[in-house]
Amino acid sequence: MSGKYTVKRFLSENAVIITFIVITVIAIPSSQLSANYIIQEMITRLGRNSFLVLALLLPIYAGMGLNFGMSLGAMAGQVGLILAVNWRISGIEGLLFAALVGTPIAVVVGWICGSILNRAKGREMVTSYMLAFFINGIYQFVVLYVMGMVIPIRSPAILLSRGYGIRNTLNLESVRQSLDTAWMLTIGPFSVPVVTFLVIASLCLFIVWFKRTKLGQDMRAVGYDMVVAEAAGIPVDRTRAISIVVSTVLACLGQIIFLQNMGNMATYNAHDQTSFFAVAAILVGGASVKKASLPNVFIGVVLLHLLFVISPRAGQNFFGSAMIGEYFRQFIGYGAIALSLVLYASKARREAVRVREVQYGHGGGKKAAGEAR
Amino acid sequence: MNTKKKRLIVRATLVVAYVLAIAVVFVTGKEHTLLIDNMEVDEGRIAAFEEVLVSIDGRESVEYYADDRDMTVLKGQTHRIVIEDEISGTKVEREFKIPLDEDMVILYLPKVASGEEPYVERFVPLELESMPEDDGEIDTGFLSDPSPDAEVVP
Repeated sequence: MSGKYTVKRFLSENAVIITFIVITVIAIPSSQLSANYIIQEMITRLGRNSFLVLALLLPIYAGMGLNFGMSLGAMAGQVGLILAVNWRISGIEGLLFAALVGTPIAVVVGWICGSILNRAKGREMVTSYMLAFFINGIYQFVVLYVMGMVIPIRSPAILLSRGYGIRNTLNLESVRQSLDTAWMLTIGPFSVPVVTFLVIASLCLFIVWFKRTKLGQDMRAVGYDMVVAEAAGIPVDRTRAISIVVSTVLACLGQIIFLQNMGNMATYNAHDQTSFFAVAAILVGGASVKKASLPNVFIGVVLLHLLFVISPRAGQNFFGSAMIGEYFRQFIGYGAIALSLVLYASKARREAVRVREVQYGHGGGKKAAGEAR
Repeated sequence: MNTKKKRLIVRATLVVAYVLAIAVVFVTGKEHTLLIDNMEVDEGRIAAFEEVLVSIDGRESVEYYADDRDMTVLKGQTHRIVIEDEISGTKVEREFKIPLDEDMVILYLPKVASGEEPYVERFVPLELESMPEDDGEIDTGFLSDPSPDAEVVP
């Protein structure tokens, strides 16, 4: 293996992360933001988003790709928060209440999602994406019509004036940053939400432990090769469904953590881009559809959000309009996902060609490459 | 006891524990609005304090004058109030409970000091302030153009 080949392979395998680092390095000086401000933003955003991104890991281990259906869990968390605000349950108790109410809903929708994805093997990502739209319709129906009409809503502050349905924007003042401020450590000019980071650390430990359990090993076996796993006696469909259920429940909890930090909730849109930004973050962190790890999550959150923080100011300074930076934000998110998926597909094709070359020799490889096209 | 029965018992216990956990966070986390009223009771039968310091649940004391009414938010049902008359120097300490299903209650300071129960009563506003209309413009995200203004910035 030559040195040139190694560099090329390194660049191709880390194209997304390298692209992001280059853009960030160029954009930071033009944003003219202070280092303290950027570091504080990164601390806040790590606490706010990491849990959601971690929810994507298990389905990747199980070979189900990026779980775009995690917005199902986000919707479950939002239902929990709506009920917590309705019954005026505040502080940490309010968050716990939302989690306790949202979790069973997340388990049910996660199981439905897992069962459907088992019927769409090989096309899990697009199926979960479409499924999220379908469940979104049910969520909208429940929140817009059932709440206040069938489910009693006590608080007139969250109810539409027509008497049923929840208002467009929900003020989460009663639970706002209750997890973050439970223990806020001040280190120099920085404030660190210790409890939030402890929760995230616990989830990381859980994932590390889970990977070593029988179920975790089964998941990896299923992710590696379903046929072999089935032959080895592993209940493939059940294992895949469990990975989606756990991911959905984690997304439910992650959305609650995210929204308590934000302090308000766009009732009908907040979950729309939950999976989109989480997927973008993990891909930017160097993960792929088949492979992801804990460092990918944190590198991705930092890199993606670093660009989110600096791009509006960089856009303002470069082009005289902060809106260009805002659109750049969207472009970056979609671009990261697209670039990563294209690179993954291209790598998979190259790998298939290489395998055929090994099997049939060089001529067979060329022939196989032609077939692949 | 066979395995099936054991499993059923364990699952039932878990469900009960889960429901109990919801009940506990509901009871301990429930917020109530408390109106603190320092007005005379029954047309002067019990006079209002001229100057009084009030502290609830060990919070910082707040000073009230005659005919004052203030509002605070409390979490949970059982609370302790300390009333200190700044004119006479007398100090009264009492415990009061707010019913779980009440969102807004009123506490009469003169009644608390005299020990006449009930000093906490349900408060029903005469007329609810009308809420601003927004149901005509619900953006459900369906079939609508993406608007940067409507985005929740992650």
